[in-house]
Amino acid sequence: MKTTLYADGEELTLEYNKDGDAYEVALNGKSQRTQVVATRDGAVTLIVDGKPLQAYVVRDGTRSLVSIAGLPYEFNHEPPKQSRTRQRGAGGGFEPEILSPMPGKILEVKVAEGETVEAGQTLILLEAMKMENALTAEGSARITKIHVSDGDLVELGQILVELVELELLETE
Amino acid sequence: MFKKILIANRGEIATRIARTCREMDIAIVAVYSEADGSSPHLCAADEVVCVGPASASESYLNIEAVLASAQQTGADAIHPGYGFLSENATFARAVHAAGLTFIGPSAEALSAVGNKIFARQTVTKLGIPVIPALENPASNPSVLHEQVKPLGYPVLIKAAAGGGGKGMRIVREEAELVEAVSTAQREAQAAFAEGTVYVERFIERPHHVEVQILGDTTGNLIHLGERECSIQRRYQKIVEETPSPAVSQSLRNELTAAALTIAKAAGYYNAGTVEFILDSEGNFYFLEVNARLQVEHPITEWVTGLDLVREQIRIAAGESLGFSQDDVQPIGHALECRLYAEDAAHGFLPSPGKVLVWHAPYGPGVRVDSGVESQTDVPVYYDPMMAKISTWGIDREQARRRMAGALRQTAILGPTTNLPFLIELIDHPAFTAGETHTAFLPDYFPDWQPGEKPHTLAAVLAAALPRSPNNGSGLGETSLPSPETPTPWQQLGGWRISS
Repeated sequence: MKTTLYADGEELTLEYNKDGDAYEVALNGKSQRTQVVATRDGAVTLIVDGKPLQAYVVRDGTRSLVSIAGLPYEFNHEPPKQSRTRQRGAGGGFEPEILSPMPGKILEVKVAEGETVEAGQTLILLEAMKMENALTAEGSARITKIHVSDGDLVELGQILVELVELELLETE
Repeated sequence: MFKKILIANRGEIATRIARTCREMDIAIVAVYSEADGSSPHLCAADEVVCVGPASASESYLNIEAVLASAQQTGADAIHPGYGFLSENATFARAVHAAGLTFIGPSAEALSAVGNKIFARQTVTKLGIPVIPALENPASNPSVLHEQVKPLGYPVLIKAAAGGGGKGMRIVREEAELVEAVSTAQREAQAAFAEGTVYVERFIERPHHVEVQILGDTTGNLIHLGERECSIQRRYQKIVEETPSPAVSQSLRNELTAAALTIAKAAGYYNAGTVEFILDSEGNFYFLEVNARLQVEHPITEWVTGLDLVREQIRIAAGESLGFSQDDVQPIGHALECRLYAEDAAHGFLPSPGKVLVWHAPYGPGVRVDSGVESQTDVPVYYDPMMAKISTWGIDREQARRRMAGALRQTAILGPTTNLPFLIELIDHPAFTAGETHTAFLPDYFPDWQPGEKPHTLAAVLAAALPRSPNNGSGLGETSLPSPETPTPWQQLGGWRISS
């Protein structure tokens, strides 16, 4: 028998066969002898290669979250959707969009569309949990679009500002 | 003794204060903001009152709303907890003027120690060393640059009314100074409704050591030893312990004597904490007085056997301490880890969200002060601390090992938390050796990323096990393996994505 989960874009294939009162479980081909000792609401006790483990599990939409020995694991039961390809600079280069690093409130947009900014210049002040965070430009750039204004509540990963690297403009 | 106490706070500290009130047969009023309507701290109360919208300045910091709630419910005292209105002298005066008791120091003492600039000046007069600082930073940038020059960089910007790291900024170069000052002022204004800041010389790799004091209104004043609070991120503590590995008995005598001198000069009563910076040569400098119950008070409770909230309430009710300095003989060692909804791998950024699973650790010498439950929110509006795990041992190593075990027994799923980071920190050789200083994180955990997780197979398996159809969040009873019922393995087929 076989099931597949997904984590961090990786496919995890779990195969299992009954062997006496235990199971031979293989993850991506690597096999371990496993027993399910007990299950109760939200928790399961397993013995993996002789080691008892307590796992806490919760299903959240298509995700399953698991905690074992204090460490969190996250899996998706469905394959990841092809994410919209963004024009990212290759290999950690210039990011053409400033995304919100956390949910929070825009305290102040410090730049305007069309403005040129220097590396390190503060573009936006974002407040979350009473801490103020300055979102800065990573290189000289021109602001092409601003998606938020002062006082807006934003989500993690929301596009706040779009910008074009200046060097890029000059060579065009 | 009081009949009914209003707790003007939220989260774990509101629950913790309520526990003691319950024990003392005092009725409990909890307050909440519109964002906290399902917050676990409400369950600990006898009555609950909404004090306003989500924003703290309109709810938990709203003096009129909090006072009105106390009067409306007939409370005879208010416990402010920590943060919010706890060190606000105006609030303490307003509580008193309304004929109620403020559980804390007098409004006069709050004013005296609460403004850090004034406190520095007072303490200097007592002959206790303070860190060189600029107390009146100019708003004009070039004047400010000239003012700060004599201190030498790096400098630390602090909120005069502050605490808990809010409004604090370290500045390593002149070019960053002006913006850092205005940011700190705004943060201070948002957190404390008071935007005054000052600029202090920054001491590299110091220990942050604080002395717990306790005094009654009849003039008894004692200390309950020190706490080491050096392990910090964003100038906020994450691991604390008592006694401090950096403090010898002779240094302890000096520190505690200095703390008592300061408290006495301020006419201080109730519980309070005098914070010091200890440099690498063993010199100490007065930092500030925290005129309230500290977040990390449980470790002092562990080693002294006292309930600090109970003492606070008794003192506020006019009772005398009833024990002397000699009666306080700390036993063993205690550690505390703060569990935050934040991403340790990405600059400790807050990660609010819904807690889906919360399982607290237990066992000998383990205590949990928690403000969360499964299926409750960690709102974006407040501090991201969710729980405090503290352990006691007969010595530091036993307390540390108990902490290592307790952290691994903890399960929290939903928001990203610092739990995996704490697990590594507690087992780090430098921590085991007691090398705690405020640069511990940048020195030993620069750009920390979670390591390889050891139990992936078991985790995948647990995730793949079927749930009963009417319960989306738990495992079904039918997944128990037995010959009569289908085994989880037979049922696993239900999750198959591709055949």
